[in-house]
Amino acid sequence: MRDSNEPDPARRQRRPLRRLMLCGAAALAALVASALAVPLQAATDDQYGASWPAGEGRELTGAWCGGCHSLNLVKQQGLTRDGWDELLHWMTAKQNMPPLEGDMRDRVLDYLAANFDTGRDPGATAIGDELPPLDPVQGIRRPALEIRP
Amino acid sequence: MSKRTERGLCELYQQDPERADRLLFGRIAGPGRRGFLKGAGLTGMAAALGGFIPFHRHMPAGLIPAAFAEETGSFVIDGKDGLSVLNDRPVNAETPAHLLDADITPLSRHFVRNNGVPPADMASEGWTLTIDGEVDNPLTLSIEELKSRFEVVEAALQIECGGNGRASFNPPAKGNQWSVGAIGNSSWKGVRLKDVLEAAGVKASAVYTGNHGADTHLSGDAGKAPISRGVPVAKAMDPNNLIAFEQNGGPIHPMNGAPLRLVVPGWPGSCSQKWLTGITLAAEKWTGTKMAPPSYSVPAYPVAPGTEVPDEDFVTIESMIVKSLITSPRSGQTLSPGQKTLRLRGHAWAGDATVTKVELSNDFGASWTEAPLAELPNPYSWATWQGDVSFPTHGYYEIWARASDDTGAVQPFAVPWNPKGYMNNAMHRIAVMVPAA
Repeated sequence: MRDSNEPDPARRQRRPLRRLMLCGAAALAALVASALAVPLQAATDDQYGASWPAGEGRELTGAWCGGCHSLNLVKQQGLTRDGWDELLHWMTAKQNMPPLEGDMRDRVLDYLAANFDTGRDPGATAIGDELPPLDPVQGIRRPALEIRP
Repeated sequence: MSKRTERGLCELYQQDPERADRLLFGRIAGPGRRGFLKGAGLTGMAAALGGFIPFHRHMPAGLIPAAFAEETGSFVIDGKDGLSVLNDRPVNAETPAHLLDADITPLSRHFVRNNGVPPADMASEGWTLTIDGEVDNPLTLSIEELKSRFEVVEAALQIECGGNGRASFNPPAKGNQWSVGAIGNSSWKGVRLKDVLEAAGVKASAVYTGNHGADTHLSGDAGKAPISRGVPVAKAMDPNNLIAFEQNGGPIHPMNGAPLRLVVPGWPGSCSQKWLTGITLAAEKWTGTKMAPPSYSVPAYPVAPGTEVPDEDFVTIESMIVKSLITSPRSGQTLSPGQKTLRLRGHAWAGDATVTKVELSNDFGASWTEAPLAELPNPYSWATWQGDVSFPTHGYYEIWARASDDTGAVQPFAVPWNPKGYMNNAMHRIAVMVPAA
């Protein structure tokens, strides 16, 4: 299933394939090396999964982030655009992510900020009928907090 | 390279998996669409991975798209039961509180926190541990040699992920969104880390350990460790730390670090290297992967939620802090008609400190009653507590638990926000419905 919102491929940077090779291979290694723990999943029509939000940048972001780690890790996060920017820097500096060049970086950041922002429901990851952990910090939003010198 | 191939690996595989195999790795599958007909494909792929690919003869053609399948619904970890999978690549899974009721955590209920790709070969035979760096006699020992040269001991030891509880921070903290169940207390058998380090002769110049594991980085870079942390030598010499080769009387679960792992109880689980292959004694603080801020670090001073904290203002987490869980009953229980009391059970632990008291409240923390602690089997085990709560009327109750330790620390209502969401020891709570008689 192709993302019909994706722009002309010619707009993309050259050589992403080479850069993705290593990550894709690592994904393969993860799957194969942990085969004793993880039954192989059947390939699905939608390689990013139905819960990977639709929209401009879906494929690029899915491929770039999903090359090395599960998109479930992305879906758990809630960050501002600046927060995502910082995270991408960290991924490149510390985790061997190939740098996103040209407009690709903006497209990935736009997609991440639009779909995984700080509005995440703090209790959403609680398990089953567990109450979310007691933590009133969750009620405090930074914009509401004025600190005067 | 045509424009089409520039669209990236996923699309390439989507369009024609076998052609993608050929283009990327020179891989040509056999007539059954399995295995490699050409050795070059295997060599190329293995080189990109930095290692041999096990089971390559069974690898279906065009496998990569399956690696990208992202729904965890059908995801199962062999030998684990009831865990909530947060992430399947790398594998991260936690245990719901009510499945942690046993005093000794079964293998099937011990959480999994992986940073990279586990090693393909976890056989005990041929596995070695190397002690090097600032030592008089560098050692390389097989597991059999560890068993024969050093005293073998067994102890119930708690291991908790430093990010346990991250899910409740707001603004959200980066990383796997652990709820409450990244904690386990299995019975670990092994030799004392201290004994092995002393046999190697730790030099006075050594200040820190650096651990090495056989897991590999998600990026496929063979030269990069997915995680390599350590502890100050003083902590390493604590006689309660084990180099473990058994979990609950049998082999260690593969996802919990078989066949050899460190257990450094009371400190973030990341100090307890899985798939342990080596320990380097260093003359300065270890600089391995995930030693630097913001990993396993918190701001040196309290910060407002959402604050950006410069790296130099972080300190490395050492001991974990006092915490407890209610493991029975499960949250959401409705009592039988006429039932006015409820027996509760759970566990409490306190990093390097010792739990002295657990209290329960059924009135949102206004009043507390003590829940007696069972005797500890050994230092650094979690303590099991049990207590009764009574309900004056029908209605909706929350039961909160809080533990105290021998340093005077008590679990708080709220914890300081920090960028990576570590050290959340806010009180655990469950809901109970008492029906009208």
